[in-house]
Parts: sequence; C-alpha cells; structure tokens
Amino acid sequence: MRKAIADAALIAWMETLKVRVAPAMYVIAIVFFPLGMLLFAKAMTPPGFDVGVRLVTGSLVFGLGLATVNLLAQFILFERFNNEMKLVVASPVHPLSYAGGVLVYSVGQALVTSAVILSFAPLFDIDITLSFWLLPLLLLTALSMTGIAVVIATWAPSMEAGNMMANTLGILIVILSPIYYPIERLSEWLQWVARFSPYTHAGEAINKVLSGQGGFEREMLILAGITVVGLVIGILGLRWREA
Amino acid sequence: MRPLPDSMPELTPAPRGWWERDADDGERQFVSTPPPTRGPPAIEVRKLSKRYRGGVLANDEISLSIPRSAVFGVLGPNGAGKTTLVRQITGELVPTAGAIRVHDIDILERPLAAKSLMGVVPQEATPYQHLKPHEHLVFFGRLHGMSRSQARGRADELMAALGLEEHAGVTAVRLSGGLKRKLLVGSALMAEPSLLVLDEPTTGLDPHSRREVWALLESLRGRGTTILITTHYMDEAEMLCDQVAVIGAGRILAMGTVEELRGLCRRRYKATFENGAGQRQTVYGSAYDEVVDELARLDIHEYTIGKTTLEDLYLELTSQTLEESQYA
Repeated sequence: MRKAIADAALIAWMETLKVRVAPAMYVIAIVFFPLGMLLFAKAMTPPGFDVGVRLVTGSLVFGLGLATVNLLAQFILFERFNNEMKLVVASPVHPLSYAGGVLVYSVGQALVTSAVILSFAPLFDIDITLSFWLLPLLLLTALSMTGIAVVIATWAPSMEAGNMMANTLGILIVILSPIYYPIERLSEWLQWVARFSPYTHAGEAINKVLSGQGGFEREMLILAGITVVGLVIGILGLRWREA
Repeated sequence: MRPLPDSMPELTPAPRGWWERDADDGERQFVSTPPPTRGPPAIEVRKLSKRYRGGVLANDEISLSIPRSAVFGVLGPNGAGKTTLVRQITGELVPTAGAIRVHDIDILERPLAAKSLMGVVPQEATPYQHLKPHEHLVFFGRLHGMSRSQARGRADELMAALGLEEHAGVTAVRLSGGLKRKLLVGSALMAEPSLLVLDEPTTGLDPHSRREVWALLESLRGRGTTILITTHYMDEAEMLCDQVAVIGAGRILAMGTVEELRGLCRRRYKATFENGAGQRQTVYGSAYDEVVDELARLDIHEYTIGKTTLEDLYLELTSQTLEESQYA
C-alpha cells in the first residue's frame, strides 16, 4: 500500500513537470481562459439581473468538470498512443497508482483554476461567501466524472476517438446540467436525465454555499454518491493490459 | 582460380566469462564457463498462444525455457510474433492460452512481483518527452523501489556508461532516436534487474552506440543477469547470445546455441562473387568442394568463400515459413 501511494505521488510529480515545457500555455489555460469566460458572461448579463454568484458557480463547476474529464482523458490518451505508458506498464506499478497520479495532477490543476476564479470574483463585483465546505464540494465535483474519463481513455481504439468521446461526454454533461438556469426550464424527461448528472447537484450545492445559504447537505450527499459510483466504475473498468 | 586457403576463416566472438581471484594465491584467472544456474529457469513459457481480435494467430503454442544468467536471443522476420511473445512475457499483453513464469512467478497471477524482477525495453516505447535524461532514469529507478539517493547515484553511473552526460540539460524530446533508445535501455537497467528483456534494443543506433550497449550487456551477463533479446541483427545474436530461437509465423522453427543452429544449415559453405552484370551473387553447397565445383562451372575466378552464418540459416528457415504463409 505504501509503495502504491508513493508511486502515485511520484507519477503526479512527474506529470506536474510538464508545466515547465510550455508554462505560458498552462497560465493561459488555468488562469486567463476561465477568467476571460467569467468576465464575458458577466458582461453579457443584462443590467438588473444579479446572477453573479450563478456565473461563478458555473465557471467553477464546468471548469472543474471539463478540466478533469478532458485533461485526464487527454493525458492518458497521449501517453498511451505515444507509447510513453509502455514503460510504466512494464514497471512494478499498480494501475491504480498510475490513474491516481494522473488524477491528482488533473485535480490539482483544476483546483488552481478554482482558486483563481474565487480570488478574482470580488474584483468583478461579485459578492461571494467563502466557506471551508467549498473544498470538499470542489473535490467531489472534480472527481465525479473521472472514473468514466479513465475508462474512455484506456479503452479508446485511437487517440482521436478517445478525445472525441471525452469531449462529447463533457459537453453533453455541461449542456444537460441546469446551472445557469432553473431545472424547471427543462422538459420533464430531461429533468430526470439532469438529476443523474453530478454537475446538477454540484452546481446547486456550490451556489448555496457561495450565496451564504445553508441546506446544501442533500445535494452534497447525492454528489458524493454519484462520485463514488463513478470512481468504482473507473477502478473496475481501467484497462492496464491489452487483451 | 584462386588457391584454396589452408584453413577456413572462423568467427571468433569475444570469450565469455568473468575474472575471478584465486583464494589461495590471489592470482586473477579468467573463467570461461558461465556460472552454474540454480533454481528454476528465469523464464518458462509453456504452450503460449496469442490470437488477436480479427483472428490473427501471432503465437502458436510456443514453449521455451531460459535458464538463469543466460543470454537468449529471439530472431524472426517482421510479423513473426517476436514482439507479441515479449509483450506477453513482460505482462503487457494477456495470452489467449498457455502459461508464463518469471523466476517461478506466474506473470498473470502476480504481475507486480514478476515485474519487480524485470527491466524491460519495449520496441515501440518512447521516453517521457518532458523529462531530462537524469530525471527519467531516477523516475524509473524509484518506480522499481529504489530510494531517491540510490536512484540518483545509479543514474549518474548510467549517464556516464551510456554517453548521455553531454545531453543532461535537454529534455528527451530533443534527443536523437539513438539517444532516446539508450535512455530507454538505461531506464531498464536502473534497478539492476535479475532479468532484462530487450525488444530490438539497438535498432536505430550507430555502430559505436551499438557497441556501447553490447559492452553494457556483456558486463551484465558477467554478473549473472538473464537477458532476453529480440533482434534483427545476426552479428548481435552471434556475439551476445548463448542460445537463439528462430521464430516464424508464430512458431519456433529452431532453437539452440549459435553453433548448433549453424550446424542445422544444410548449406554449410557459401561463396560470394560479382557476375558479368556486376551484381553480387551467392552460391551455396553442403560441402566445400561442391561450392568450388560450382564456381568452376560458372567460370568464376574472383570470389569470397566461407562457412554459412546464422543469417543464412535464418533466411533458409524463415523464407520457407514466409512461402508457407503466403500460400496457406
């Protein structure tokens, strides 16, 4: 167990070193792009509509979700189809250590983005309430779809197919999750579909916390349950050896 | 006609063995016999078969046993099943049928335990592009359970041994193909494994670099490391390997020591010459006189004559297999 954790930490550190290859690109992706989207959304909001907290919530949820799903899938796909992963597969490394290491790196990157958004929100005249409950909520949001991302990345027949599947999954989840609008706006059957999306519950919970409201425990529990199911799918479905 | 030489030229590979100091008088002496192997074989493969989706039978009931401390070569043309065999032995590919044991550990049941004994250089592997050579070596040393200080010290040694020191400051993406290959070999050697598996390790290396890798492998052999190597290079197999298996169409066509395999070749002698059109031609014969008579019949006066090599056996065996598979 100790080696498995050490290996995961080592792999996370190794992945982190990728930042030094193109640091400017990472700064743009982690800092400027999400802030730019937040600023744009705020600017497009008609005057009189106080939806600042919703915009921050949306930026956090989609930033976390898309970053971890897409980034995680892309890392694994790139290493798999560029034959970098062969060396790790041939080493005495548990597959979960590898997945865990890449996951830690992806989640870490997404949390940095979240911290940037939360830091800049007051500068965009958005009043938010910070609470320590944000951390577990953000972590659960980031982890919720990673299991499926791992399955897609390790089973995809090609890098292009894997990227397409991961992007499609991410976009579908984003579209079907009522974060920028009330769930009642969806048709009845789409409301049922939306309730299975972890981002629907993440959005509600985070919005309540940022607004200083209580009563987010139900959404948090549902999010935790969906996250556990997703992680179990990822653990059972991770393909390490070719059949 | 050129006068026949008194004796035929022989291939004389470097003597194998190691230096030992005598306990009585302290004199160093060269021991040419490999140390006796103890315990189960390093690799044991029993009736191993692999059929890919789509129906291609890449390995067809292959069985072999590689003793500890041996250098075992696998030769075969493209598509013969060498890499499929190696990938199953290293645990990257799940067999369709059969069993594989590495130092008596079932690779399918206990893959981590088996892999901890192995250093592997896969054929198509690429180093992590964003890591510098020293970082790459340390990373894989630590994945094999070395401490940070151990891994750093060992990486320093290998950087010098593999000629990577002058490239220490650049990431792997900027290395040439040959240097990347050497980095992969170094990564496999970090934990000083008892079993080293190399899938075409010197492909893409210049002759000087190839010899550096050979020297490294010879030094490992002297320490008792078992080495499994697949290669297209006959000289590499002849220089390094104690035993060689020739694979064709997923089956082992011949297996034995280099001398035993040479003896299998029906055409023991060959002569090479240029014909009237300026093209190189070769004639074979089971006896020396047979070749000479054929040359005389063809009225050839300028030629080179010698014993057939492992390459000739390889071509003889594998061309038959290619024909069979073509007309199957």
